Amino acid sequence: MVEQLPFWGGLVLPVVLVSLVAAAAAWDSALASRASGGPASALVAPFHAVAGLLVQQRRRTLAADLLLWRGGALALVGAGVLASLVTPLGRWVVADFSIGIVWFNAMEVVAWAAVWLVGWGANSAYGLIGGYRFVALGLAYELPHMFALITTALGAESLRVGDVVAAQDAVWFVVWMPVAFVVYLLSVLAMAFWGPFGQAVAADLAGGAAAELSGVDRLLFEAGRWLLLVSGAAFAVPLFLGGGSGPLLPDWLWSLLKTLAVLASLVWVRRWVPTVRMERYQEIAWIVLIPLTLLQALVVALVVLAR
Amino acid sequence: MDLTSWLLRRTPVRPLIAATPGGAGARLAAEREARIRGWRLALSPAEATMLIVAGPQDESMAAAVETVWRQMPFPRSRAEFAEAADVVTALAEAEARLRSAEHQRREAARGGDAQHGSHHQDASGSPEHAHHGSGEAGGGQSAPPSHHEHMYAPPEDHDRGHRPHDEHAHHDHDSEDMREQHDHHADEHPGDHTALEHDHGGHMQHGGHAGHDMGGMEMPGDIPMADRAPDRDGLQLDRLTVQLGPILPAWPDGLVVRVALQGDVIQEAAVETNGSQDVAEPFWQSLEDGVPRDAARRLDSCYRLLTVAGWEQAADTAARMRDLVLAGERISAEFHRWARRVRRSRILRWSLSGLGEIDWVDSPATGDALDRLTRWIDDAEAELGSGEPVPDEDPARILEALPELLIGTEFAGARLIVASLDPDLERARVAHG
Repeated sequence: MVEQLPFWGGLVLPVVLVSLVAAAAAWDSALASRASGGPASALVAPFHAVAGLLVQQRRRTLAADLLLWRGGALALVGAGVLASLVTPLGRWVVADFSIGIVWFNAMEVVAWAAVWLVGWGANSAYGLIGGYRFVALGLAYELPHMFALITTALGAESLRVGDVVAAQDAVWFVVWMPVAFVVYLLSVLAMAFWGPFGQAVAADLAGGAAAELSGVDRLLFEAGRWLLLVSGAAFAVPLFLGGGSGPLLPDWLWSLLKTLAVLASLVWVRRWVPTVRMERYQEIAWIVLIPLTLLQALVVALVVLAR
Repeated sequence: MDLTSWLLRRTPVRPLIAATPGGAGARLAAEREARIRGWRLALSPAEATMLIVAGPQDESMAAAVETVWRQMPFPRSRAEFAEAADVVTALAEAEARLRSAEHQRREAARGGDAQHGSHHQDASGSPEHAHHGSGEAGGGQSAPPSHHEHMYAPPEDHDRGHRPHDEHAHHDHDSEDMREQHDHHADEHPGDHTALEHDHGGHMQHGGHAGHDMGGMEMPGDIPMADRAPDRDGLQLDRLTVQLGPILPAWPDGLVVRVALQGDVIQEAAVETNGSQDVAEPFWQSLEDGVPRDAARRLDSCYRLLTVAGWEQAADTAARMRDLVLAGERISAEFHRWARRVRRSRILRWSLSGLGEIDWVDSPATGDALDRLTRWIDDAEAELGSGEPVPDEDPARILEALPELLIGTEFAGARLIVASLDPDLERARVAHG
């Protein structure tokens, strides 16, 4: 069902991811420009932003922990790319690990450390508070997220992503695991601290964890954030949306189209909701989402036992 | 043509707007221009490529403006204008300077000289960035551009520890006069100077600590240590003094709030306002009859509150409608669509309710942040229709109540409370100045 690509797969992966990032960023920029009445050229704004960051001076703050500060931004990029190693595009996958789902989860947890280090390393009050907020967010989203991931593994009786896709031959998991799907999408927003979960880099904190970043460091940080969003959106396809299955079109194209659809809706969500305050989301995550995902897992477990 | 110039010409303009006291009109003009040109506003000096100083020159703002300018990395440029009418020229010129490789190189070289001239403990000590100079903003230690050096590099600067390392970490939009405040703080809370496990020293602004006996401890970059004080759970925690304002995104013009933070919880708050001269006539009252000024002012307040609440789309729409109203255009259909969406947003209600509760009888500020937002929208709706808007609460009364409202809240809550009160400080300065 899923076959591992030779070594060059690992080289193609970043290219695919960056293309998806570019598409998503352009779309986000166009949406923003429409609301504010800006110029129509907004589609290219993200590329100009990259150009600007490439020539911008890298700042230093007094007594910053340079290694951790800059390393954090790099780790974010690494996590964003490595998480997608196990995501199949149609039939091809870069690494077909037998514990693919755990790998994805592990890479995405690297982002916890990365954002915290970026916030802490700059030796800045706003950065530090941004870091606190991200850790609080992590505590809120991670458990429901893990239960959502486990639910799909339970349905497929395997942690291998290829097996999860194969198990959806008859019915996509989204049909009988809707709660897990919604919780998964919420946690993708959270792991990329995007939209409603963007408090770690919010305007009220003057940019929070990213407040002191400039130049290449900011570029890496922003890129890492987008890569996480793209990786999360892409992983929803094999987990819940039947992977590359679909009529007429080749399977890789179906994977791509489904990824773009998930990505587009995640980007679009930001336009429609304000940021959620962490203290409030914490309540919902622990009191509502965890029991819900456990219940979902229980239902799936019963179905698996019965069939 | 070299690559740098090529990239520089494509650099997006990210303005950071600093409104001086009496500069509300100029600020609105700058925000409108930025919006029309598709310039996204910067959230911090690090992100900014252009500093826009909008409004009449004002001594009380000079230090804060210089600090922010010093913190901005190259390439950067600066636009200053007093009157809203001058905004287009000022911004166009600043944009040209930003994109001119020659100008940036010259400025960087000048900044670099200044850096060498009075170089002292560069925290990271990296030689390759000699031209970093003033852009080495983060380093509170680094020297400012030469032409300002006499102002901001006082002699005692060279004596280790005597400089309040305030400029840096908070990218504190702060001013030099904070020193006194810190001394004051330090006296109040001597803290435990021996406890060093948590080196958050750099977030500290306690210039006062410099005078204490640090027991021979060397802190990185000579930063004084953070204080400790019991927190709300009775634990001994680090305590940072941070100045909010006067240059902060979506922050009331001219407001400065000094807070003592533990984690992100505000333990103490002191409010003051910037402005060394009186305002002849506050901007919002100076608008000619026929312009629905209260509707515009309410939309401006909504824009800032929604920005702080992290709802960019609704905030941008409010700003666009504000500008349309000020230009004398009718917006009713769009306004109603927007108002319905904001009023119905469950997440917004959930985020704002219960924040900054005020129980004044018959005041437009009564209730929590959500009540005030709803009232603003109602007011704007009334004036755009045929009703009468409710007059503002006296800004002086708000300022007086503010510290009490902020203490004990988390940082996010505090920002929302301030934004939901949005005192018009120009009015305060007319009434009491």
